[in-house]
Amino acid sequence: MASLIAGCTSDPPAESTRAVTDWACTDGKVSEAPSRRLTRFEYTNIVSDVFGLDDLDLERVLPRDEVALGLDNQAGALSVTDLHVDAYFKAADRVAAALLEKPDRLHQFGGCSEPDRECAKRTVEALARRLLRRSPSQREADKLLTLFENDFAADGVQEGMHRAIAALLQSPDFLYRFERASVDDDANVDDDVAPVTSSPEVLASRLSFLYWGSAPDAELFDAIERGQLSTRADLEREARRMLEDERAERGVLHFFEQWLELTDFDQVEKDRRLFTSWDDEVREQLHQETRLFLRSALWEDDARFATLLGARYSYLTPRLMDFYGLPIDSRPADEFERVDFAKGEPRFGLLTQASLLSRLAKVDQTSPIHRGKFVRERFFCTTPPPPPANIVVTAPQIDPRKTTRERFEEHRANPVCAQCHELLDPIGLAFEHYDAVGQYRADEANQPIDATGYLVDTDVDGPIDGLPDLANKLAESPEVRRCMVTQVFRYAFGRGETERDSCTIDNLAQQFAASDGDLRELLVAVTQTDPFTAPAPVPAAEDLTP
Amino acid sequence: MIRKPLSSRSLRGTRRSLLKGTLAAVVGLPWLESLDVRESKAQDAIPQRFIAMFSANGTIYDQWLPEGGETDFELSPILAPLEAHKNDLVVVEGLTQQGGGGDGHQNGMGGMLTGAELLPGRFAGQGSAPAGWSEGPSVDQRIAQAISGVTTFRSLELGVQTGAADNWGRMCYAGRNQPLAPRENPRGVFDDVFGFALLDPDEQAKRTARGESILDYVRTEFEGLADEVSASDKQRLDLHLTYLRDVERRLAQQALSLDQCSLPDRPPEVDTTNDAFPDTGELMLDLLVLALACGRTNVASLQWSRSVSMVRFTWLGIDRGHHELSHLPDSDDEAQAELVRINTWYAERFAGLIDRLKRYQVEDGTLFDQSLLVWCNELGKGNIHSREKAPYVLAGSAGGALSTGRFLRYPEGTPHNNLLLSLLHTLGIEDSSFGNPDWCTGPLAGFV
Repeated sequence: MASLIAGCTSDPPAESTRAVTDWACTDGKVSEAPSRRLTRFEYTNIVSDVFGLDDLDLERVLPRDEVALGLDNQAGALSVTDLHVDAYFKAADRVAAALLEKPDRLHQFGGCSEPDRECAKRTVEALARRLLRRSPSQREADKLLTLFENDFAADGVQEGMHRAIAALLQSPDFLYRFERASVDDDANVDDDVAPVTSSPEVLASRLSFLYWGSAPDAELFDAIERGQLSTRADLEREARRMLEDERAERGVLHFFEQWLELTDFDQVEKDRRLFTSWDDEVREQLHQETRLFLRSALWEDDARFATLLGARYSYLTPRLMDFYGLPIDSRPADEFERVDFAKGEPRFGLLTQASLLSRLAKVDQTSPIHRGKFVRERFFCTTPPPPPANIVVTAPQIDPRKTTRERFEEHRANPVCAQCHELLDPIGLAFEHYDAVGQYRADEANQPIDATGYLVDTDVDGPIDGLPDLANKLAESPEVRRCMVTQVFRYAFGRGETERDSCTIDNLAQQFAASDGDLRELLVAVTQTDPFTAPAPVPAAEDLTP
Repeated sequence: MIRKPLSSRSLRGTRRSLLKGTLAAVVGLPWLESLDVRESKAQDAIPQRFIAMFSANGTIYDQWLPEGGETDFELSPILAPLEAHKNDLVVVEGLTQQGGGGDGHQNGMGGMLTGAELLPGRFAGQGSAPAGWSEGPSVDQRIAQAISGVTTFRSLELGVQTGAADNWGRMCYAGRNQPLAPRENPRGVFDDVFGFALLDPDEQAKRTARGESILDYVRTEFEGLADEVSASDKQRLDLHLTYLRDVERRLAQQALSLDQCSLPDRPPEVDTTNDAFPDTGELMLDLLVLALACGRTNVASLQWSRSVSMVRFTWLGIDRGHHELSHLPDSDDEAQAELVRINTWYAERFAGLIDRLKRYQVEDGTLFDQSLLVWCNELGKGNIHSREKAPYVLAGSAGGALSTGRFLRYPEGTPHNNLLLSLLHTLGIEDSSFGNPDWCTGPLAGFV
């Protein structure tokens, strides 16, 4: 795999394809990478991983991050405002105070507990390395010690430590990932093992933020010290180690939850008079079901993309089994357990989970438009064209005598509407067996459900009958695979792809296909690409706009 | 359908009946009622104040528009809750909200207070190319430059459940590409604005010394980086530095005594469920007025939800989301009636804001007398995303600068930039244009 991806730079492509790919990645240039401000997710993860502090409620202190391209880590979109800088000041103070209340934890950093200058120095340097994700320079270490105001007696150390921790947590190299060249660039690299060119510290951060949404751990620093974070093979080794770490669940699921648009699922509401089984508990459990399913599919099962769309099992509580109309067993109502679906049960993979189905529906009715749009955007990476200006944009009203399909007929009868609804409704209508909360229905308005539809303007065009058909088509489609690769790329690099990246994305897509759609292998393969390994050229000033 | 303005008694009753969950910690009285003194000593010069309030998704124009002449007019059903303050209002007809880039909600939101278009960017709306932040700055920030004086906060942006951090949810801009996120947690606002002043002097001294040394360290680290990063990173670092200096400045000013006004206890924690929306909003209104009364800021804004607001007004017995309702056709009587009730509810909140400002005595009158308020909306008509007939309601004379009790009618299509410019002129800021100059044809005739 490494050689396939590395082919972008080291193996010139065959003559016949050269004309096509030459501009893309044979010159070794990669796209611009603006500095990345820590997201709230990353900040809280670092505080948890480095200090073991999980209960500081930093979510309420730090502002929400901007979401662009469906992701909360897109560098260009992440703003810095008065509110952010103020929040960093407060959050740093809160973390410092909490850490000082746990002296044992603090003393671990320097391996000492004496109230003197030597111990303070060791502690501060160790803290700086973890938080700045690189070794502090002598100047930095000295400057941090000035915060102690030369008082290294007990109270002075306490106050000085508070200041040093708070100062580090507001330092530019903590709050931003600039990916500057390393202070120490003479890494020990053997020329014939395809050296990568970015500094080991930058690579360590790229790995840890990708998989864990957090700062590098001690093992990555050890690898740097041993000179073993320089080659593609080093990256692959660390990638595999890190993906098996439980922190990867947190980081990787953060991507998948955003892919499925479930981040704000706790805000999804239904008309509880129409849907009496819907309540806060069900909503919370449905969200958890999808998380547990993803975790299982990605780590316990084969991590195949097709598995996400076709697995005949899920994780359910008795409450959810009741919700789904399955026979209830005697576990406590909130205890999750893997449930294998019997043949004929209309549940298979993500598309049939009620979290997704209810998210993509209205308060009181299904929404073929939203469901179709979701498939277009998340599986085909295409944004449907706009509805025309100055028309009343409104969903047809509920009419107990008509099915949803009948009510949406106008979209296709009216040529103005049909232009774009042709791309959406016929996909969304394939979901019609699942109502606004995701429960199965055989009929609507006294008519049996017609879940037929079709795909147009894709590489798997043709008629579909219900979700099994749609899921199969999505699992087979090269366009869908490439779209998945594209979204992983955006998450990994914190930016949208440019033309210059298309060779990289092509190669990743090829590799993804060759691995039979193995998502974990895809996440490893990302580390082998030029944009991952190369030092990033500086972007132009205009790129600050999201 | 027409709702009477709520007396403070009925307001209290409404709120008590809604107390739920963590809010149940407050018993009986609205939070600010625990204040024993409602007096704010005037500062050296009598300050002017500016407050912007936003509600979303357009209005029902014929139920919003007053009837009659400039000074002899009847308020509409939607504006009926403002009846008690009719002589303090200026209702403006005929304005078209200018904006560009992104979808109607996006550019309405981004252009409402800036009079400028959205930059190209990555927030993909419906029916348009994706757009970024506004060209900015917003009018409140231009005003803050002029009238913030020595207040701790140049301006205070407050919001109630404003949702995601994108251009549908930002109306205030410090400048081009510099959105200002609203503060959303009432208790956090209280702590930020007043917390320090409530500490004992020793603790204050300790915190100030600590904060100064930390910020001094951090600031010089940022300054030292400027030469090592790319141009765009430098822009971002410069912004960061600017705001760091603000935090430093506030730290110094927090030490000022707060004896001009007395403070209530910390407000209760609120949760972020749909049904906590009204109570959270009441607390924010309390906090906004308290911050002005205590001289913490002269410029504030309150953003209820966001453009495309999905709030469900269950407390009015309305179950469908606001945005969904706003897209139903004019022929849907039930939806129209519900939308009128939603907009009327916001008029009640605007009236509540005025009530609160009037409760604070200052030397020559009330806090309200010093203030200029504007209530705005990102759209005119929700179901066609129209920004024509934007429903602007102003209140307060800003210390006698604006004559009130008027219904001003301008030719349809008058750009709203002209109103923004007139707001500046009212406050003595004699700019010649505001926002996109192509959209600003001069101050509104006969306004000031």
